[in-house]
Amino acid sequence: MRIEAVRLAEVGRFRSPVAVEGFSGGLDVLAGPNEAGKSTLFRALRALFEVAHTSRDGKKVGMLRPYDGGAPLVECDFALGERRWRLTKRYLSSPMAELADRDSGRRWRGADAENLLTDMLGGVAGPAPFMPLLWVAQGDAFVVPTPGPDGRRRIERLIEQQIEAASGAGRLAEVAAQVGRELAMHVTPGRGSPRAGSAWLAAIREVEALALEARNAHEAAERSASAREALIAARDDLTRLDDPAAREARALAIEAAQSAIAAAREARQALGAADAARAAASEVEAAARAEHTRLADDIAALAGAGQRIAEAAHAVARHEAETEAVRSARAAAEERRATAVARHAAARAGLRLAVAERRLAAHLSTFADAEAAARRVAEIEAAIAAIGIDERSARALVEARDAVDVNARGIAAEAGTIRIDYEPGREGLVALDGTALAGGLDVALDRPLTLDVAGVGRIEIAPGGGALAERRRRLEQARDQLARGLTDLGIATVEEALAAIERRRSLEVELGDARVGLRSLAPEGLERLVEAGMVLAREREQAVSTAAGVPSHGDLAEYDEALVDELEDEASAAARALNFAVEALAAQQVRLEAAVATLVTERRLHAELAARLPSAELQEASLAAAAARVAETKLAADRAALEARALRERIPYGDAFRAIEAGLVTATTAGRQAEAEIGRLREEIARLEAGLARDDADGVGARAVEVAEQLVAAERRRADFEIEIGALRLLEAEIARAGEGHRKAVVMPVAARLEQLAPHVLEAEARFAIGEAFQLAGITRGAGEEAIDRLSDGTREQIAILTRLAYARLLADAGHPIPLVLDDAMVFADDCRLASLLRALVEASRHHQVVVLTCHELGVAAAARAHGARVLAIDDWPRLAA
Amino acid sequence: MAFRLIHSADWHIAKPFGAFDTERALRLREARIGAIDRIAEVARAAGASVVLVAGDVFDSPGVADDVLRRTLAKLGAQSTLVWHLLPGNHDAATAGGIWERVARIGLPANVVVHARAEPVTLAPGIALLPSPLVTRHAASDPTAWMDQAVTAPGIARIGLAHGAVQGFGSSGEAATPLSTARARSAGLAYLALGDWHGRREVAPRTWYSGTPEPDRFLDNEPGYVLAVEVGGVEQAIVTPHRVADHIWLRREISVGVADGLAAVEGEIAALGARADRALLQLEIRGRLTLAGDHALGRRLDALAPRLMHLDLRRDALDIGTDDIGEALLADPTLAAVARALAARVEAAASPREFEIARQALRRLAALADGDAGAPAIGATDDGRAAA
Repeated sequence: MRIEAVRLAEVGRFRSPVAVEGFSGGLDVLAGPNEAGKSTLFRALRALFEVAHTSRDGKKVGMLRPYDGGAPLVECDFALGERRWRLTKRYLSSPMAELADRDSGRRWRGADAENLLTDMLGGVAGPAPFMPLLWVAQGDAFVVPTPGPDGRRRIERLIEQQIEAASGAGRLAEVAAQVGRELAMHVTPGRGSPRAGSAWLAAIREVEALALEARNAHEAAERSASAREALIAARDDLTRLDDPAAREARALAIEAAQSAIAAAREARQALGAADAARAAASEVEAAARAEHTRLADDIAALAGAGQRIAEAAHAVARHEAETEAVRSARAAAEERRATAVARHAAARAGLRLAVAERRLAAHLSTFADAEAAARRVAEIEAAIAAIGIDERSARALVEARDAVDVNARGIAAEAGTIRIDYEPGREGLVALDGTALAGGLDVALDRPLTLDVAGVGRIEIAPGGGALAERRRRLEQARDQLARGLTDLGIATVEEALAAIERRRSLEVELGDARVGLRSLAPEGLERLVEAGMVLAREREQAVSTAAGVPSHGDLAEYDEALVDELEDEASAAARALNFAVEALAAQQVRLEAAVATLVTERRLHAELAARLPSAELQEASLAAAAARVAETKLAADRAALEARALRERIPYGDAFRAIEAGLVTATTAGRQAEAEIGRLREEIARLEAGLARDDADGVGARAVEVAEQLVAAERRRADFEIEIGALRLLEAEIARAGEGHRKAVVMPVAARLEQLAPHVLEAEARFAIGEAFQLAGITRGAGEEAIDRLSDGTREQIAILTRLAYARLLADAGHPIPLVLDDAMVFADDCRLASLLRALVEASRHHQVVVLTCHELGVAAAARAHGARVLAIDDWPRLAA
Repeated sequence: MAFRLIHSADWHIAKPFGAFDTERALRLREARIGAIDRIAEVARAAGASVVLVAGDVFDSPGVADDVLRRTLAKLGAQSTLVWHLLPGNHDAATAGGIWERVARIGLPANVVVHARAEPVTLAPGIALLPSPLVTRHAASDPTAWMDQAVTAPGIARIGLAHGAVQGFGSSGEAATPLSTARARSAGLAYLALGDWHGRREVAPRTWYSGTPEPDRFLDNEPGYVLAVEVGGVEQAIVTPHRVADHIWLRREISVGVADGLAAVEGEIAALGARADRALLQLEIRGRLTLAGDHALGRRLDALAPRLMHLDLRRDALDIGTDDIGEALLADPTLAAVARALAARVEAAASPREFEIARQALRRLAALADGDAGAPAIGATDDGRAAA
C-alpha cells in the first residue's frame, strides 16, 4: 500500500478544503508547527480507512467535526498492489462513500464501496489489521507495540508462508485445524468429555441403554427358563400324584388305618363291659361281707347288753346327785351377787350427791364476787360521766390559750412604740384615744391611734399592715376561741379544765381494772352465772333424790371414788362366781341327759336284738349263712377281674393306640394333601403355561439373544469411537509438540529484523525476546537482559519505533508493503539518535512508504530532506474549492 | 418306483442378527422365512411331495407367536407339499416349549411335527424314523433307537435327526453326538441330518443339507436343499439345489507385494446387482506402508457401499512405520509428527495403545493427503460396514 494524497474539508480546524499532495511513496515528511493540523490529518486518514461513512461514533467520527459544525469530508489517493484508488467519505451530515479505480474510472458508492474496501484491506494481503500497529498517533510511539489478534495471525501466516516457501508445502496448521475440528465433533473443548449431541456420546448412551435392556431381557429370559423348568417339574409331579395306582395306594392306606382304629374301639367297648361286671361283683362281695360282719356284731352286742344297761342306770343316778349339789351352789352365788350390787349402787349415789353440793357452793361464792365487781364498775362509770370535760375539749382550750400568748408576744415584739415626754408644765396635753397620755410611757403601735394635742390638733396614727395585721387577726381569733371554750365548759380557767382531765384519767384507770376483774369472774355476764347456778341446783336436787336410800346419808364426806371402786370390784367378783355356778349346772344337766339317753338306747337295742335273734342256734345258723354268701360273691368278683385283665392286655393302649390313630391321620392327610397338591399343581401349571405363553408371544428368549448381540455390536462401536478419539487426541498432542518448534521459528524473523535495526539506533548489538503474541518481552544488551519498562523514555520510544519498523519490514519482505505513519513520534530522541532514527527510516523507505508528521521543521524535516525525504505541505484543495 | 423328497434343515427362523443394524437384521430375518417359498419351488420342480426339515426350524424356543403364525401360514400355503418338521437343539420339544405353542396355534393339515421317536409312514413303502431332540443338550445319540425300530419288511426306512457328527473337521452347534454308521446299522435308505449349516455327505446315504439361507461367514457350502430320490431299501440319489437369497462371502487377501484386493473387487463387480445382497468378511494380511494403507482404505471405502455389509479384519495387516510416504515427507513438521506417532506404534505397551497410535498415524496420513473427512466409525476393522 502506498499513500499518494490526502484531502480534507470541514475536518477539525480545517473548515476550508485542504490537501497534502505529492507523496513520494518513500520517506514523506509533513512538517509544521504545533496546531498546524498534522494530527487532525492523521486522525482523518485513519478514520477514512477504518470507519464506515455511516458511523456516528463520537470518538472516531465526532471528533473530526469542526467546532462550529459541519460534515467532515476526507479523501485519499492510494495505490494497492498495481492498482490506484481514490477513497472519499463524508461523515455525519449527508454521509457518503465512494471508491474509485483511478485507472479504469470505475466507481463504487455507499455500502458497495465499504464492502469492496473491506475486502481489499482486510484480505490476506490487506493492510487493515496492521494499521493500528503501523499508523502511530501522537504519543502512542512511546508504547512498545504488540499486534492485535488479527494482526498477529496475519504476521504469523506471512512468516509461515516464508518458512513454507523455504521448506515446502507446510500443512501443520491445516492438519491441526482439521484434527481440532474432528475432535470438537466428539468432545467438549475444556475437559474433553463426550460432547452433547455427538456420535460418541450417542454410542456411549446406546451401550448404556442396551446394557440395561440386555440385563432386563436376560433376567426375563432367565425367569422364563426357570418357569419352563418349573412347568416340567410341575407336570412330572402332577403325573406322579394323579396316577391311578398312586390314588388306589393312598385309598388303601386310609382304609387299613380306619379298620385298625375300628377294631381297637370294639375291644375297648368289651373291656368297658368287663370292668363294669367286675365292679358289680366286687360290690356284691362287699355287701355280703358287710352283712356277715353286722350279724357277728349283733350277736356280740346281744351278749353284752345286760351289763351295759346296769352301767348306764348307775351313771344316771350319779349325775342326778351331782346336779342337785351344783344347783345349791348357784343359789348361794346369786345371793352374794345381789348384796354386792346394792352396796355399790348406794356408794355411787352418795358420791354424786356430795359432788353436786360442792359445786353448787363454789358457784354461789363466785356469783357473789361478780355482783360486787359489777357494782364497782357502775360507780366508776358514773363518776367519769359527772366530770363533763374530755381530753379533746381540754386540748382545744390549751391550744387557744397558747395561740393568744404567742400572738400577743409577737405583736408586742413587732409593733413600734410612741413615747411622749412632756416639757414641764405641759403634761397631759396629749390624749390617746381621748385619754390623756402620761409622759415617759411607751405606747405600743399595735392598733390605729388617735392623739389629740390640745391646742394643736389631732394626730391619726395607723400602724403598718402585713404581718402585724395578720397577727392581730389571729390574736383576736384565739381570744374568741378561748372565751367560747371556757363558757361552753362552764369554767373560768384553763387550769380548771386541766385538773378535771387529770381526775378523769385516774378514774378511767380504775374502771379498766374493775372491768378486768368482772370479766374474770363472769366472762359471759352475770346472767350466764345465774343460769349456771340454776343448773347446778337442779343437779343437786336430782342427786338428793337418787341418794334417798343411802344408809349413811347424813355424812356425805365419807363417799369418795375409792369406796365406789372397791364396791364395784366386789360386785363384779360376785357376778363372775354366779356365772360359773350357772355354767356348772348346765354342764351337769347335759351329762345327766346323756346318761339317761344311753340307758334308753341300750334298753331299746337289747329289745330289738332279742326279738331278732331269740336263740343261739338261730344266731349260729345266720352267721354261717352270711359267711357262705361272702365266699360265693368273692369267687364271682375274682372271675370278673380275671376276664377284664385278659381283655385289657389285648387292647392297644397309649402309644400303640396313638400310633394306630396317627396312621389314620397320616394316611388321610396324605390323601388330602395329594388332592390339594394336584389342584395346586394344575393351577400352577396353568399359571406357568399362561406366563410362558406370554413370554413366548413376546419373544422373550429371542429378544435376550438379539439385545445381547446388539450390545456387543454397540460396545464395539463405542470402542471404535474411543480408539478414534484417542487417535485424534494423540495426533493433536503430537502436532502441538511439533508446533512448539514451529512457533519459535515463526517469531524468529521479527526478532531478527529488530536486531538488524537496533545497532543503528542503540549503538550496540542487542537481542530481543519476542513472546507468543509477538509482544516484545525483553532486550539483552551487553551484560544482561533488561525489562522494557525499566528502560529510559527515549530508549523505549526508539525501540518502539524500531519494533514497528521491524513489522513493516517483515510485511514488505512478505510482499505486502504497508506505510509506516508516525505522528510526532520522535520527541525523546537526542540529536544523535534522531539522526540514527532518520537513517533507519530512510533505509526502511526503500522497502515501504514511511510518512512522518513532525513539528520540528528545522530538526526533523531538514534532516530528512537532507536524507532525500520529500517534505510535504498542507495546501488548499483546489478541486473542492473550485 | 422311486420316492422323491426334499431334505432341508437349520432354517433358524427369527434369528435376530443383533450385530447388524435394524434394517439389515430385518432383511436377513425375512430372507430366512422367505426360504420356505424357494424350497417349495425346488420341491415342485424336483417332483417331490415331501419336505423333511432336520431340526432347528426356529432359532430359539422364545420365537414370538406372530412369527410362528407367519411360518405356519407360509407352510400351509404350500398345500401340495407335506412338511415334516423335526425339533432340534434350538427348538427342542420340551415341556411347555415352542412346539406346544405351535400346536396351540394350530398346525396346517400339511405340516407334521415329529416330537416322538417312533416310525411314521411317509408314503406307501416308505417309513420315516424321526429322532427329535426333547432337550437342548442330549448326551446320547438320539438315532440309536433306529437300530431296533421295527418296520414291515421291504419298507424303505428314512432317518431324520439333528446333531453333530465328529470326524470331518468341525462339529455342529448341538452337543448331540450322532453315529455316522447309523444308516448302515439301522438299514436306512437315507439319513437326513441337520445342525451343520453346510452341505455335506458325512457317510454313505447320510447327508447334512445345510441351511437354505446362509447366516455366517463359513465356506462350507450353505444355501442348498437336497432333492433325494429313494430308489430302494438302501439306495438314495442326492441332488443339491441352491436356494440362498443372500451371499455370505469370506475372503482372505494379502496385500503389499500382491494386490489381493483386486480379485475381491472383481468378484464383487461380477455379482452385479446381487452385490447389494452380499455380505463380505474380508481379512487382510500382509504389510503396507502408511501411504499404501491409506490408499487401501480408499479402495475399501469405495467397495463398502456396493455391498450389503463389509466385515473388515485388519488385525493381521502390518503397517510399516519406516516409510511415512511422500505426502508427509514433503512437510517437515508433519513428517516429524508422523515419526513420533510411528515411534509410539512401535513402543505401544498394550493393544489399545497400539491401535490408537496406528489409527492416529492413519488419520495423519489421510489428512496430509487432503482427506479432510472424518472416517465413519464402524467402517474400519470392526466387522461392520458404514451405515
